Amino acid sequence: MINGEIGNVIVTTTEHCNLGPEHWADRATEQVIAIGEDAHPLIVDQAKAFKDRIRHVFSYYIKEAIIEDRSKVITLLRSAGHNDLANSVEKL
Amino acid sequence: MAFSGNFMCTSFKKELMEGGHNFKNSGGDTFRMALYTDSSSFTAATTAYTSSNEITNDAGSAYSAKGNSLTRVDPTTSSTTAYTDFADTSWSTATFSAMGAMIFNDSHSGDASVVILDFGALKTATAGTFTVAFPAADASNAIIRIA
Repeated sequence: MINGEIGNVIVTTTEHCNLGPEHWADRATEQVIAIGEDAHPLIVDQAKAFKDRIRHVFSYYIKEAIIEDRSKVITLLRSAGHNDLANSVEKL
Repeated sequence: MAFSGNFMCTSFKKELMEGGHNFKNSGGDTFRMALYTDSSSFTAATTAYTSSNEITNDAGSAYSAKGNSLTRVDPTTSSTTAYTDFADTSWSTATFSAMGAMIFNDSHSGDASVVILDFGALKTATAGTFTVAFPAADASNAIIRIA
């Protein structure tokens, strides 16, 4: 007998704000590192520590990417003569 | 009639045996996730995408009919279980509510349904982000598994 099974999705929503870099860092980490339920406790501890480190690395570089992208938007706005808009984006 | 848990459409099981769906990352079919209201009445006998009771935007235009295209992850195996996965999907600047979703094959003639997903409660985004995170891609949790 072959059984088909379906996993559970998790829905996250926000009101009048966006999901921050920490959320996406968590999601990326979950995609990269899974810890087996039956793993030895010492291995679990090491894996959790490594996972936490990876989460911080993802978070840092996601924030760097946001800064880079925002800088690009500001530059484009200024070069197009939209200084007010550029100043507004710069304050975000 | 409301959503009543996650389930795999029976027609999908048959279509798998007919080679009707390709989940491979490269060259696979286009799978989409459409969102639905609590008025939806899907059963295992559901065979295809429908616009009936599909959600609409309460403001803005973040959601379009047929929802988001999903990024496929190559099917793989672990022990005796085969499974596949998709990358998380999200709608930004969203103002809408949804009670559940359908994943369907947009490449298949008739937009064949694959699975129905119950969110468990009405999920609402207001001028924010609505994101659906898929479970860990492993033999115990992946979104679509054949054991």
